[in-house]
Amino acid sequence: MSGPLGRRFDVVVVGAGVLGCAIAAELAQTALSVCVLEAAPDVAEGASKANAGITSSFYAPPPSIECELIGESNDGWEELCGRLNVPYRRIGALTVAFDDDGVRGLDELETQVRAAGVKVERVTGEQARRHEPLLTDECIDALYYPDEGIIDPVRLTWAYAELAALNGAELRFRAPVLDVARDGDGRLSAVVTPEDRIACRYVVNAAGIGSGALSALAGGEEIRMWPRKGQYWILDRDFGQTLSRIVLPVPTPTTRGIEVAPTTNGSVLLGPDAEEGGDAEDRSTSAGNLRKIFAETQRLVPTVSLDRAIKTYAGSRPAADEPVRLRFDARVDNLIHAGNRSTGVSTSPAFGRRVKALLADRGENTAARPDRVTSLPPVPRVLLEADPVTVLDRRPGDAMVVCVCEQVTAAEITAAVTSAVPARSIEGVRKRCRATGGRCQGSICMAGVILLTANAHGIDPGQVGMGPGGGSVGCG
Amino acid sequence: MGAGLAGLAAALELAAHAEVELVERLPAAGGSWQFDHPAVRDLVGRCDRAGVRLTMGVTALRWIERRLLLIGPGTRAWREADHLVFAGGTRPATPAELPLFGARVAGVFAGTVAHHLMEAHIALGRHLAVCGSGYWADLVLAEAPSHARVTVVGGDVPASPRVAAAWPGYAPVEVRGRDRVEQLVIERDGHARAIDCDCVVLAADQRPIRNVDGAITATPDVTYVQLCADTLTPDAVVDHAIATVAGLHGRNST
Repeated sequence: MSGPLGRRFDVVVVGAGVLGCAIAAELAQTALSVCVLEAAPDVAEGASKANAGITSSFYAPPPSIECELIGESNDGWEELCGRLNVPYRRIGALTVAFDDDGVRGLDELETQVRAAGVKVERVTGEQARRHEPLLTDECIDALYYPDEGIIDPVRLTWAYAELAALNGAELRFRAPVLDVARDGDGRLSAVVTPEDRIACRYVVNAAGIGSGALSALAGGEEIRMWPRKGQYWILDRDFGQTLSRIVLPVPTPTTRGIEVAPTTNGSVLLGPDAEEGGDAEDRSTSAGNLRKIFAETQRLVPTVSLDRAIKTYAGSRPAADEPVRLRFDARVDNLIHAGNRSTGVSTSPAFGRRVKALLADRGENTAARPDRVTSLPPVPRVLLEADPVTVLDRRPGDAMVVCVCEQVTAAEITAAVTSAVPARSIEGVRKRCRATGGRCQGSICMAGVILLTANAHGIDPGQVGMGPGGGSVGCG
Repeated sequence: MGAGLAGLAAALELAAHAEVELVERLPAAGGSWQFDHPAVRDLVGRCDRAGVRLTMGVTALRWIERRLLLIGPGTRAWREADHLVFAGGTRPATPAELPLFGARVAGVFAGTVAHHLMEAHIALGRHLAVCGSGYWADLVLAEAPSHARVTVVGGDVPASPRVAAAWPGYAPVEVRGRDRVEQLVIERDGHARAIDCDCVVLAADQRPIRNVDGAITATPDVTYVQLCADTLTPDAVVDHAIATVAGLHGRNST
């Protein structure tokens, strides 16, 4: 229904990262009308993609909003991920010390974790190695967090977006906010994108690294932000099958440190490092940083090997003076800031509920609609099935494997390119169902993925998107 | 597993001594040699006469405790076997394997993918940087549109008139670009230079395709028949396959 006059929504959410989509999913289940605007061509194109896929049980000591939000989110992952068809496993994490300094760091950390009421065990090096046999002999002391988990952060973001769309939210991509309109009281009355002017009663600033710029554009508070770039290696599932826990060093003031973490698709992540400043759009990897990352993780798990490397990637977390923002702007009455520099995935369920509560406090009707959708239809994921034969015998038409490395069927790819928030690019397909993301990096299946995507959208194969920047397969 | 020349030759060699099933992902034998290659046709006929069971259009996904998971529109089964002979073919090295760092942008293709897309007449760029020489590079050079400028990086200097510039001995180290590749940085003996391009084809450094879980790295009940070389002749592939599986049939199943 968009036209020259645009449309009116109760809430415009700016940013289709994990927080924006979580908030949209929650609000769309109420009577409020919701529109999500995203500058990039797809969901999860910023920090929501470039993270380690961890659901933290602890990050910041109490009293802090981050501690509260993690606490409000962490018990519910099994239920939420079951409902939204998101891969999740509560596997536990080990923070390990090598020397006396490390032990002192663990002492301090243990006090904070216990104050937060989070489950934790102080274990000896030997006990830690029973939790994770691949852990280095150098580990003399460790903290074990049984409630830490791993999740597919991109699938989570997509699932929130799907849930929002199925509940009537409108999602617009390649729709950066170029300008805003304000009424006589200084409240935001509309946002302007290249295609449209969208009238609204509330704006949620979930623009990640772009949050500072959006606040400035809206006449809101100054939010000082800068990109904190991190790089990662991904190691093969063949190695990942032997690793059971997340392994971390003792954290520093700015990062949780470079870790070794299993992923929900069986591979292993090494990273991230933390490089401050720079260009937020910079997703390039570099030999120097990646060699250092490898050396640090080798100290935690000596058997990591670059012979098993299948991919490197980089991305930026949205660092800010106020690292976790979940409140109304002090100047602009109907602008809500929703941002998190590091634990966005881990706190996303709470962000959705808390933004709803902020609007309820303003007298909005945020009661759940009786006809709301609360779950997504499951698509069997061959890779995650212990016995795919039984699953596929029930759906024999699904039994055509396109991506062999990641065991992805044509049915899984079709679901990714025809869903409510469909993939339009190779990257989009990989994010939703893993095809092209395995050890051969699409050497065998990419052409097929391009054709399936082109067919689903009725476009030429050359127009299918490739890479995160919005370029396409064809050129010239 | 794999009914290319290597898989066919290995199956035939073993068929005299054992019950052999040859599983192929595609609906036809031949692999990268194509189904109508004379050597392929000859071997398919001989395999047939030797009692090799040919199972086409079925993908092998896992090898666990001497059971092979087969998935396809017509077959969904765990197949018991004493030994897996893996003839899954080869592919060029991936960016992580080379290693090639830098921007993750549109326009960087594996030689295998570039070949398929060019075959479908999809224009991949005006200035192609083709890394490596041999099978995939030759296909891409042959299919590159006439208006495209082609730079070859590394490998042997190809004789093709399509090549505008060549940098033998250089290796690709970094991709630069915003949305699409704009430059490829190449290096030899510590000397780097950037070449302008809007498409990079990675065709260097052949690696064995390994995509059956449980058979990714060597185990006693898996034999790999994957000759990795820039240029291969049918005879070389067949001889290598026969030599690799010779003696397997002497090993009794346990």
